[in-house]
Amino acid sequence: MRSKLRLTFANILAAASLLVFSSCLNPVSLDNYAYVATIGVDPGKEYKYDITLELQGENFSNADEISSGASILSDEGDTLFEVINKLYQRLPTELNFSRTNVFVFNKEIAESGAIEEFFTLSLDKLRIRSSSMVVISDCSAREFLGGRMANNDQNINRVHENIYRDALISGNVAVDSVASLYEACSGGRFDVGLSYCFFDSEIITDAKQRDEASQGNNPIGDSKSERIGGMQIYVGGAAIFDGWKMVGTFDFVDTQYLSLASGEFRTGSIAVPLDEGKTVVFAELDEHKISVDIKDDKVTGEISITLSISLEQDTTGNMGAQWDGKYKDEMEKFFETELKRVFSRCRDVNSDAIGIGKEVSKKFTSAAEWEAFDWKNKYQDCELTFDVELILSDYYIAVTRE
Amino acid sequence: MNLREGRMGMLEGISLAAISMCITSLFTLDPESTYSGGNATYITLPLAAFIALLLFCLITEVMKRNGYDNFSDMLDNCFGALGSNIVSIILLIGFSFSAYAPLMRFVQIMHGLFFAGVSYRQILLFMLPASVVLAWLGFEALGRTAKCYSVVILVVTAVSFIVSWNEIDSYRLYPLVGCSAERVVTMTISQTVSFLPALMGLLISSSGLNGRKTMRYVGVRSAVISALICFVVQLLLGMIYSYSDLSNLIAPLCRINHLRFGDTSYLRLDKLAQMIWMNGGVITGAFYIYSGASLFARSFKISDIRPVTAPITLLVTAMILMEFDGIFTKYEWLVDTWNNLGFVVFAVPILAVSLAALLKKRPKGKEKSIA
Repeated sequence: MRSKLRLTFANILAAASLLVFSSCLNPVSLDNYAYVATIGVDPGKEYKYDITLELQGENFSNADEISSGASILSDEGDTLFEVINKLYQRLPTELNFSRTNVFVFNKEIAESGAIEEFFTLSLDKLRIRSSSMVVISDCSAREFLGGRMANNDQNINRVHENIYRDALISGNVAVDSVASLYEACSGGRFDVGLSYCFFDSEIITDAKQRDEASQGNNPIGDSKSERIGGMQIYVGGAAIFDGWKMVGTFDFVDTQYLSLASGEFRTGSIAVPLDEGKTVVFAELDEHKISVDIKDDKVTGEISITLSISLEQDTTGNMGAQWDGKYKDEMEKFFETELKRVFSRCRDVNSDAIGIGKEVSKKFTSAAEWEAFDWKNKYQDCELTFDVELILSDYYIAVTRE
Repeated sequence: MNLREGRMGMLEGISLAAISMCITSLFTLDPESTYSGGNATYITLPLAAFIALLLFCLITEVMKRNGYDNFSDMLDNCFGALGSNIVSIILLIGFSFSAYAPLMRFVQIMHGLFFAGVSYRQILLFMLPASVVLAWLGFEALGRTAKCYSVVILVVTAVSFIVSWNEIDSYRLYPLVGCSAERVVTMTISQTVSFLPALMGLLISSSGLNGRKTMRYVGVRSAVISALICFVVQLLLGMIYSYSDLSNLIAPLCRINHLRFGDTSYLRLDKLAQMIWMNGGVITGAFYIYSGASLFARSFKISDIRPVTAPITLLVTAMILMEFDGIFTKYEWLVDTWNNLGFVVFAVPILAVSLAALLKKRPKGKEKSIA
């Protein structure tokens, strides 16, 4: 009798446990979420910020469409949370930031250093991953996000991943994440170079071409624009920072040299002026070494770079034959000059975007000594030399081509 | 006596002790005091494991010399009933703090990183019953559950580091060690509190491990394995986050999966990994609750361990609720004292009992106590 009672009680307890412990805490149906892919920040008119959110398109499409577009929400507020609260009143769904991949800041916000205050928000509270990219826009963030929408068949995540892929393939885009930004500003070993993006309303997008053509127009022939196709926004170049503040921008070319100097470069096409023309080479970074020395609080260093190059366009006509005697030295000297110029530009604005501080920190035996050294104050007196070695990886092809 | 000890093998014992030591050492460190002067944890944690192992070997050697089979038997013979009771109460408090630390930390992580809008109490209600049930079921259930989870925890940890491999860079370790030798020594000694409770738990339940010899084998191997795991994990963490970042991050291991860019299948790995690590925390909490209850029951000659397990669980629950209700912020000195001097609670009884046993020979013909 007693064991029966025990068994009954145990069964009731097990059933109750199954009910309680097989459920979710604070469950929300997937349909009730609107996923924010991008957060854009501009200076506000009435409030501190004008925040634009780009939502993934799945929630706004018909069930039988393959949705790859996006939609835009915007409002003003002194903080992101204020804007979120305002937007909740206009939305039938709950905003979910777990898929946020990119932050876009207008250059005014970046130059004023207001990014620091913006990022006092808790990423954990919004479930935003610290791998999210931070991008600075030459135009307003709203124009940037709207420009992306203008070619509305682009999958937003693919667009984001393309920025990262561009950086690896071409080297003319700088990419850094929120985690890097925090590390740079708290650790003081380097400064970030963030992607810099532009908006060109004159670009005739693929979508516009299709729409105009279907109405019998000829948008390409009638266009005065030099740029046709693709999106109205493009990402290229770098915005370099001194801590939280943006202090300069690099174009595509200088960004390549910046990424070469910092060791972030993988591959890319680089134009080198030789003789009367421009020879274009495809470069691949083989080796990158930084060595530094500290004497009387002054830092000197050398960056050694080994690049494998292959010819894409040879305007000299005899690169292969005269590689060892002439063009190798000329090209190496050209690279060294350009790298030194880019380093000087960084030093002039007190931006250690090359990351020399990472090597300098290795010279210290304690954290207290390193912090007392105050690297950014010493950075202005830093002298750096570059030693570039080029290897013509398709030498025999270059020779036989002639 | 019904101590719900049962019997388990070496693998179960090693899994249980190693999981407890690793979870406590990797998830319950106070970030500000540990990392603010530089990151030396990849040295101090393995050294702390080594010191804890030395203490463990000392007491097991004395046990062997004097013919004791478990810790409470030794305690009774060396200090008498009253002394044994006092020491067991002190150790019970120590085990309660040791159980509180990982359970509290995982509730904090679940609340802070995963469940928005859910109160601490709801999460605790989700986690604590699992810990209580395991402790209630006893030593054998703990060991067998730990054995099931040990490989899963290792795999999940390894995969998490592989996924964030691109973020690993050696410059973040510099300045190497970062702090003075004196601080390394003080941190090493204070971090032995991460390893001593698990080894003490093995000492108390040695009959469940088929005797003193097996218990020693399990203790040595689990301490060595834990030291290795702590070294590797802290070294890799130190290469993913610099010391200035680590000093602001609670449980950085739970964040490394956030560093991978893009919408990949690894997007959900952080939640999966966190669930596995949390289960490790549940096992750890249960083990320490059981060990405290077992020692108390033996010392006070309570015939059934279950009525002792219940109030200890309530005590641990009360401590966790006090933490989240902000009561401990008024008594920060208590938390700081535990972080810096908690090892005293375990190390001093071990040394005292060892010394007393060495000075006092065990009477010939005295029967061994049976649990």
